[in-house]
This record gives sequence, structure tokens and C-alpha cells, in this order.
Amino acid sequence: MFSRYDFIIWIVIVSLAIGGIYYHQNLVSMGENLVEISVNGQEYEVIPLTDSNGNLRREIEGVNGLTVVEIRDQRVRVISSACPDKLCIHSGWIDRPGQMLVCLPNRVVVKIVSDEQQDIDFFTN
Amino acid sequence: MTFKKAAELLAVVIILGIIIFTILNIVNQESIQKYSKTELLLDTVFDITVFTEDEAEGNRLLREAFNEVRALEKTFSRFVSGSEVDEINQNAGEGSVEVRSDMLKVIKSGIYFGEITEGSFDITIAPLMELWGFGTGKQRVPSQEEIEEILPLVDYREIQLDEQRFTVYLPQEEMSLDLGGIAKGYIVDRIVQYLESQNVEIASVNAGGDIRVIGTREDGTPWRIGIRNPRNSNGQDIIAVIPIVDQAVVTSGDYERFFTSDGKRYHHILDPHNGFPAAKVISVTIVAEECITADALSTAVFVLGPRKGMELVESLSGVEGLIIDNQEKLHVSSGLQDIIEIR
Repeated sequence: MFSRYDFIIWIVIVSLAIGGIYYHQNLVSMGENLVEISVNGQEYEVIPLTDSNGNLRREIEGVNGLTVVEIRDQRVRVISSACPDKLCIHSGWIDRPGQMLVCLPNRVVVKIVSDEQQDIDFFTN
Repeated sequence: MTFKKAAELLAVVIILGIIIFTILNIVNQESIQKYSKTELLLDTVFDITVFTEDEAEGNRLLREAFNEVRALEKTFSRFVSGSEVDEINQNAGEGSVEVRSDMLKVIKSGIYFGEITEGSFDITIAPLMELWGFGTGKQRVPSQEEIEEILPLVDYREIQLDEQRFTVYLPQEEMSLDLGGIAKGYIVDRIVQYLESQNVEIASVNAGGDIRVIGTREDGTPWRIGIRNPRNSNGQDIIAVIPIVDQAVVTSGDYERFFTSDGKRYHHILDPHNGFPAAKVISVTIVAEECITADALSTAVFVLGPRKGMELVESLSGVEGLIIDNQEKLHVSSGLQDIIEIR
């Protein structure tokens, strides 16, 4: 028979089920933005963009020398690099997933990635 | 049946429903996964993303695709000694060179795009590029005399192609091929063909801004391509968004490669007719079914300018374009007008 305790158990089960769905959906959409640094196609370091509320600097050893990357206020830029044309520095700040900074001569790529579907998939040159 | 029994049954059905829904939801989300890989190839950042159900399959597709890119790079690069392009250039004025079918196809396409653009796109532009120092790292502004001396060497109509014997011949010793404006697009197309042959339904290939996609996004909506604002010093600001499905997009801009001399800026998109950087537009984006078309036409339309360029775009089926002229005015082709999003 259906007693008062049964009701309590059912309510607990229903809340757990709904809570589970809610938690799962949150988990899926919570994909945070990561700064992915690679040298010569090999992963070098992955840093959450949110870590940058302070001021983060990384000195990356490329094939020609150092590339210095600054992560600040949820944005990333290259501040110095061992390359002749400095295109990576001229690119300025990036802050959205899909964007990247590339120092071809030094073989360093800094990319913002996210698991979440973004508004823009690709940026042309 | 009592009311209580009915309520109990209903509750059980609802809860089972919720549980089944949740499980299906999780299973569904985990069934298709995104696999992507980035490598520095063809002097740019080459990125391939595939969506498949199986991790081993995803990794295999990426591995095979990149093997293909590396093999094709060896054939097409002007700067790899011993490449087929290098062979053709070394034997200019001396003898014809036997080439692979890939090379024959690309040169044939190059000649075709030369024809439909009245030479505004020219795969024999290498001597002119060299004179300006693009690609060598030692850029300079050449004199008018120097340019006039070089210009007769830039003429795609001189290329001798033998499709039966698979040979290519450049009749003048100083002539040389530069497939940079077309080979990247061809390689992107080849990778897309490979992935399609493996029954991939959702994928993207991005060779430093030469983009082609298979299908739609995972959620069934078109892929959205952000077009860079050509005059924003920040460099990552976008001026328009173009949605695409099963298409390719390439942008050519005067901000990509340039040098400054005596306070004047000189960029790398040279007009094969007069030998100087084309100045009527600052950015051209072409949408086409194949990336090779978008690649060649973005350069050609840049040289042709907004009026003639747009006429060409409108005359070709399956080709759309966005031209930003030197007054920073946007020109949008008819097929894009309803879907482009201007920011």
C-alpha cells in the first residue's frame, strides 16, 4: 500500500532524478575556455583562461628561442618572440575560442579552445 | 483500481520516464565526439576536425589525413628542393618535366583561373614575387625598369601542358611557377574528399584561413565563419559572419603579408598586369563549393577590384563573395545578401 513514507521516498527519488538531469546539463555546458600552447605540433601547456584574473606570463621554448605569452583579464597575447617578422605580436590580444596566435618561425601556436559550441566556428585570415 | 493505486502507477511511470530520458540523453551526447588535430604545415597552421562515434576511428582519420597533407606538401612547395614545382622551375627553358596527376590538375586549374580572370590570377607570378622579395624575407620596392623587365615572364598562357604524357614545360628559362595561391585550396579539397570517402558526415579543414566544411555543425545549424575586420589594429575583430554548409571560404587581405618602405605600405597581392600591389580593395572573401576555387578567386577578385570582381563572382554559379574596397565599403554578392550578418 501507499503510505506516507512511500510518498517521502518517491519525492526523494524524483528530486534526485531531476537534480541529476540538471547537474548533468550543467556539467555539459560548463566547458571553460582553455589556452592551449603547443610547440611544433606537440602540446606544451594548457592553462584555463580563468586563471588569468591575476597576471600570468609563460616563457615558451620554441625552436629558435623564447616566445613570451601574457594572459591577463581573460585575454592572451604574445609580448615577445624569437622571430624576424613579429606577426604574432602584431596580432594583438585574443579572447574567444577558435582564435589563435601563431609564431611560425618559432613553431609556437597559442589557441583558445572550448568544448562548448561557439557563435563563430572559424575566423578567416 | 483505487485512486491511490492509480497515483502510484503514474508516479512510477513518470520516474521511469525521467530516468530513461536521462540515460538516453547521456548516451546520445557521448555517441558522437569531436576529434581534432593541429599541425604546422604548408607554412601555416593546418587544423582538421572530425566528428565520429569511435575514438580509434577519429584518431585514425586524423592520422591518415595529415599523412596525406604532408605527402601533398612535398609535391607543391616551391621552397622544397626536389619537389615537382621545383623540378619544373629548374627545367624552365630546357625541357618538360613529368608530373603526378595531382600536379597536372592543379596547373590545369591555375590556367583555367587565369583565363576566366583575364590574367588577374597567374600561377607564373613567381619571378615578380621574387623581385619584390616576398617569400625570401628580403623585401624591397623594385624600380619601374626592373618590373618591366620581369613582366613578360609572367604569363600563364605560355605554360605547355601535355595531358597525355603528363608533362609540364615552361618555355623561358627565367619563368617559374608559384602555386601558393592555389595549392593550399587543392590540398584542403583533397583532405575533404578523403574524409568523405571514409563516410565522415561532419568535419572541417582549416589551412590557415582556407576553410572547407563537410555537412553542418553537430546541432544541424550552418557553420559560422567570422570575417576579420581588415582595418582593426586589434586584428581579431570581425566585420561580418557568413554561414556555410558543405562549402569552402577563403579571404585574401592586404594586411596578411606586407612591408613598409619610406613610410608606404606594400602588400603581397601583386597585379600581374602592372607588377605592383593591387590597391582597389583591402579584403576579399569568396565562398565556393571547392576550396581551390575560393583560393584562386579571392586573389583574382582582389586584383580585379570591386566592380569587375563582383561581376566575375556573379557570373559564376555556386560562387559568392564579400569585397571590402579601399574606402572600407562592403560589397556583397546577391546570394549572400540574405544570409550574411554584418557586424
